Amino acid sequence: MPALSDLQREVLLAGLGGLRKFCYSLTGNAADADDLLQTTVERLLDKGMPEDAHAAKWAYRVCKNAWIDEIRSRQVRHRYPHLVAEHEEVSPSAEQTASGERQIAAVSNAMDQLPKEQRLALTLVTIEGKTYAEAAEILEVPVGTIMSRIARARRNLMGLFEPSGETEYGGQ
Amino acid sequence: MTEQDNELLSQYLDGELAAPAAQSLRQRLIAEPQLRRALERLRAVDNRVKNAFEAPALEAVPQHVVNMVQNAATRPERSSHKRAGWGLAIAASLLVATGLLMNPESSQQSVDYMTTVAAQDSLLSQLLEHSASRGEGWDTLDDGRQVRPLLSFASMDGSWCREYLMSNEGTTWRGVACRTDNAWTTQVLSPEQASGSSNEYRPAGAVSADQVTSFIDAHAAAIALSLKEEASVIASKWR
Repeated sequence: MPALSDLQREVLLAGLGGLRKFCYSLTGNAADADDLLQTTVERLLDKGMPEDAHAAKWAYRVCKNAWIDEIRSRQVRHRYPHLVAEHEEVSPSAEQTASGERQIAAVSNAMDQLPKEQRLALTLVTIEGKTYAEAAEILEVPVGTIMSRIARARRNLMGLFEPSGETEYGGQ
Repeated sequence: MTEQDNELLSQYLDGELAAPAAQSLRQRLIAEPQLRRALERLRAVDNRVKNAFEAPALEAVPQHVVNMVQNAATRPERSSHKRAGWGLAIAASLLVATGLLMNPESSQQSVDYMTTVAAQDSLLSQLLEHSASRGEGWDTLDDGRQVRPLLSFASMDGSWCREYLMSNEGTTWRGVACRTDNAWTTQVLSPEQASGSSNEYRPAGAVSADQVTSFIDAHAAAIALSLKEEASVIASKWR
């Protein structure tokens, strides 16, 4: 049984660029972004989506899950390196030597330090331009949760970008 | 600064604060330099993140991934039975309203319209973006349809919505459109009948009137904006 309807395939095709940017903002480099995008598309085509699903939103949700799976996988590899046969590339890629990509790398490094829930919410709203309601639908959490995750993400990034800046915040 | 203020500023940056709360915050920003400074710092963080990922090259999709999707087999579209009901009626009304009704018997076409073309009624969307609500008079779209925005309200999902009347070739519809991704998309649309004067309308039937009323009851987070509040929100591009 084919996984997508014609309409869903067209919507997905039209949204691939935005999805790739989402992948890039989560992974921070082109190679990992392309891998994540391909994994997302493979899952979509393999498992399909409900007939009444909005293809673009569904794709973002599958992408988010694939990214979380990859993070967990990396954590396992780092925790049990003797089980990993493959060699992990740790040196900066050539692309990161360009000025614009150094900027991406700097922001990505800071975002790497955010809890993944905060990073996902911030990425969807600030980079992808989704509303809180759309982000809530993609991440399957209440709108209020999106609101607080984004606020905490911004506060945390401020601390990372301005490590010697004044600390004005109460609470956590 | 408190966590609550941090959340308020964050929502303000994202244009997710309802108009009264945004207005209240703006007044505090004038009076509280520390709060104003905090907003600027958050905005700087936001700009840094946005600027880092704004290069068009980041949307470059590898051709083999495009091919995977293009070459994927697709299943037939499902029948429209599950979407029958008011949604279909709205679709048909909107097709007539926009002059795009090619085949009235094609329910599938109507359903497709709601999922594709209705989302792209750019003329209506542009008008709702800029035109103030009022009790009489019409704005005329480039295709001849006439539209009168009636009121604006904040939806519980955080988006803005507007109720409007649309008139075309002697028939009038009452609808509600909500704003997502910088565009207005009609959520509900019901036919109405003129009741005498050109400025008075009554619903064609209780059911259709209920559709709009029920939608507003179910989705409005607060009472409608005053004209002054609405003017402020329009000026700030619905932020």
